Amino acid sequence: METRPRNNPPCGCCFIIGPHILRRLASSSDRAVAEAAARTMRITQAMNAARAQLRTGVPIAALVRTGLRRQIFNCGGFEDLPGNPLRSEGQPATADTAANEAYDHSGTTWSFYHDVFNRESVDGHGRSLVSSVHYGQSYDNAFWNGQQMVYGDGDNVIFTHFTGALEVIAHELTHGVTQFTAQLPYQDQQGALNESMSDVFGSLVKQWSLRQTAAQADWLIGAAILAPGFKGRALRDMANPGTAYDDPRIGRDQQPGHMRDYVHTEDDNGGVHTNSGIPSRAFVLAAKAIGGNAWEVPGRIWYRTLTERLNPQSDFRKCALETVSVARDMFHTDPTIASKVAQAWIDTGVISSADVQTVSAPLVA
Amino acid sequence: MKVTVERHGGFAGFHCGATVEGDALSAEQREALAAVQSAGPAAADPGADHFVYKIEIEDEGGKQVLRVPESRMPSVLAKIATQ
Repeated sequence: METRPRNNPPCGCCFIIGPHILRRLASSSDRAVAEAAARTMRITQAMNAARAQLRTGVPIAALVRTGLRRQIFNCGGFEDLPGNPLRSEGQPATADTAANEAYDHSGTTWSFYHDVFNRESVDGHGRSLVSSVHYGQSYDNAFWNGQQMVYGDGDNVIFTHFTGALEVIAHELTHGVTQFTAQLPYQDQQGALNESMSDVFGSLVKQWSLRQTAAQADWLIGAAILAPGFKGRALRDMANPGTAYDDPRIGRDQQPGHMRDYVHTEDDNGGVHTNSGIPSRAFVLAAKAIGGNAWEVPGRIWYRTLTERLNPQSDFRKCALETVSVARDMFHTDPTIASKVAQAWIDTGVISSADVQTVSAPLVA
Repeated sequence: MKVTVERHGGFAGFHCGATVEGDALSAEQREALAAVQSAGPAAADPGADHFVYKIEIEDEGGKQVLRVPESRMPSVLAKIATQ
């Protein structure tokens, strides 16, 4: 039995085949052996990086894998995750509509982040996009659990299946992006900002796929997954918070569009799905004022803000000031852009005109 | 005793709930309720858009409010909210 080399640091993992053996095999003259060993080493490195990240909480510059990789699983009505493998990247469409929708829409979302922002998957390192469909029985929900997306079939009374709307899937994947960047906690105002980012980028993915301008977009979330008979346009109306629905079985849309109507509650983690209406409306106001395709200018401002400026303590006000600062930095030749962003936040009561003066001038490149 | 079970959160952010009299609870439901009460506060489910349940127990002693993440909510109690 070979002894462990002295310069091998303890990693807390046990591997049957030690790394020194793999390294030797990776330089084998037998190509199949060398390739298998190299692939094993890459997987091992990724696992070590993931473990290190979990231990320290600090993102590790792990190997970046390029390319889209999707995996769809079938829960078959149970709640064990991820379920049974159903469709992998490159495999043809199956007979399962929900699986195909999860596959297609997560692919479109990946392409959006890749093409528009040069981002490799939700973590920026090319992580696989995992989705499980048919979760639970008549499960009226979809969620992101920190590692994957999970979709229910709906009850066919209020909801049809949750994979049916592109912006729903993009909303869930954006929770992953936030998790790997700003790490906004899912509570109170930070949580409402987290929710708003998912609606903003969820809607942008849909607009990008349809080649719609900000003026043409409907700014609705979840319109396509509501069952016939639902008394409302959608689950949320980002342009007009509080008007999306009024259904006797559910009640009325309670989203505010201004800070004076901020809902102080303990429910829903401090009202994260309710108070998200305020920053979402700010984005729509900025996008309509700036004009054109919303992902190109305001989308870029919000993306840079989310991925480079926000942190777990960031509230609406912090987000507002940072988007104005980013707008000045990125578009310093056109000061109307930053002023339109600022005005959107003023119109939603998040900041005042006096606050805008405090935003530092950009460093001229 | 009165028990109110509400479901909040989820992707849609809807809320629903119902109140039942304590003696209308099944033995299984009473047992589940006792288990939730003695378990104490639970950490939120990781990620986003999970359901979160709120259980209010009102009796002569006062009112107790429990917030239970979806993964820790017994289904026999959860169905009170959606009936």
